[in-house]
Amino acid sequence: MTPAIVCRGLTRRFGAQTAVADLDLEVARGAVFGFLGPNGAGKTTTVRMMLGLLRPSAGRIAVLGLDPVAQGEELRSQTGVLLDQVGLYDRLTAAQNLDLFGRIARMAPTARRAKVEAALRRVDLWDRRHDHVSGFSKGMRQKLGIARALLADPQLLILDEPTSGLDPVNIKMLRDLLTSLAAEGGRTIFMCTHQLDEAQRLCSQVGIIRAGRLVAVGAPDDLEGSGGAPVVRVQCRRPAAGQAANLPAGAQLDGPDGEGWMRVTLAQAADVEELIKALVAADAGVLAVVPERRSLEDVYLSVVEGA
Amino acid sequence: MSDLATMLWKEAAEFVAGARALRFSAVIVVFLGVMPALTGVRSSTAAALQSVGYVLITSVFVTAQSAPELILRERSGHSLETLLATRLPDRAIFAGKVLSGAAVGYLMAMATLAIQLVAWALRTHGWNWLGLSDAAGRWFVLGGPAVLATYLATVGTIVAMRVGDQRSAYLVTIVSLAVLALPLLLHVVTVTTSASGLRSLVLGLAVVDAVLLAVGVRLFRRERLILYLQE
Repeated sequence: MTPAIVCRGLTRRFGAQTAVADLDLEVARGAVFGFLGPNGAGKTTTVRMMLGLLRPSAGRIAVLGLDPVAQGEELRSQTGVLLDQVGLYDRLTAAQNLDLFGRIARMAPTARRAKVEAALRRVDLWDRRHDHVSGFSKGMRQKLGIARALLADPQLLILDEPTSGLDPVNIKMLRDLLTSLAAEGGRTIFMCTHQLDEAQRLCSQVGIIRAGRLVAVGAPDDLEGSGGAPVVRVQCRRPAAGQAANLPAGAQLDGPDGEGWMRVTLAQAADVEELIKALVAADAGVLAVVPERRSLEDVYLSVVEGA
Repeated sequence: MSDLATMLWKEAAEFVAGARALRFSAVIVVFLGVMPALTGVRSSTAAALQSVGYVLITSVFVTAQSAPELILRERSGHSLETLLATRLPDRAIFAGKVLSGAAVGYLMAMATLAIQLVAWALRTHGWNWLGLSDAAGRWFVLGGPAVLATYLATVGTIVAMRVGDQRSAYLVTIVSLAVLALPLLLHVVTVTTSASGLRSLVLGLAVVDAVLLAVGVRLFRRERLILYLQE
């Protein structure tokens, strides 16, 4: 099966400024992909190219096996979108907003009514279906935007900062909704976000973009374990003996804390075995050796700040 | 056609729900509708001439106001990019906007005409068809607002894609009428007030509308709009 999204050398320039540079990316069908990066990194430009709203300056892109520029209409009919601005019609009611997108998807009237009801019930807005959207809170608007994106059962769901600007209660509510969507499977979700914990919880794969370039990509667990010097935490019965041990070359030991835990930064991951031998030889009474994983936040900050 | 119908449905639903736009149009329609009956003219011929003028004015001002607003409202409400991200073809979006703007102007002009007929009948205690009573008048009263509204709606939509400000878009749209008047002022085109002369004028303007609409469809590109929105 072809991947849901394939970008090869994707580049977009605006005059002298390069918004996206030589982007290589592959998102498998059914994956929940988190696209991380600071403001102005090129996330929205990438999304616009995926939707055929902007032409690439160089490189190529295929979404659901289609060329977004040449086959934009067909592609967009299989894609549900929630952009960074929800873009609802304030003068219309919640039901009318969804009904419009059902008409755009060319649903028959009976099917459209059923889909609109199901979508509104799913986001708990059925009781507000006759209310004008102008009176909706930001959280309700985001929920309605997601209901709209899901209305036509799209194969690909593109969400640009879905929890941006929401209060903690609405963030949790929306995350629960996204979690249930991710758990359903079968649908590819491409989500731009600043929320690292959100990406960690929901995404099977994340990519980090900085200044238009993709600087890291992989499963959150793999990224967390990657990059930087390897660190292990060691608990010893006799920490003083551990401090005096003949550590591997380049190793640096910090601690211990009150419970005898020490933090050892190694020159390379393979030095762990040598470290343990040295601690045993020093009769430090080794109780535990635990590799310290870098959090997604550590990885994000290190690549975004170029560290 | 169903995509165009969807766009027209959307614009109609928004227009009906928009109290401000309705109020603006209603004030113009009622004011210009009662004018011929209140200005003191005695003959039905003079009233018919006034009626034609007011009907044309209604279509011009309502269309010049409403057509750019259909795009500008989407720009300010951030719904335009979402609309562009749907499967709707470019031509359906553009034609939907133009025809909706033109329809508002034309319907308001016809509402003005209806009020004029009723107001004149109430004043004179007898029914008179005013400008509709002869063939020349019918071409001008029924056809004139249609071609003017379509012209202004096309220009207004194109202008609003580029200009993000309602007042500027409105003024540019109104000023564009001068382009239509130029051939008459330069005597490149002469018009007689006979039925056939007015029919030729209306049909000529309809051809101009069709060409302008075709140019607009070619100019309307998602990417161009996205770049304007980015600015």
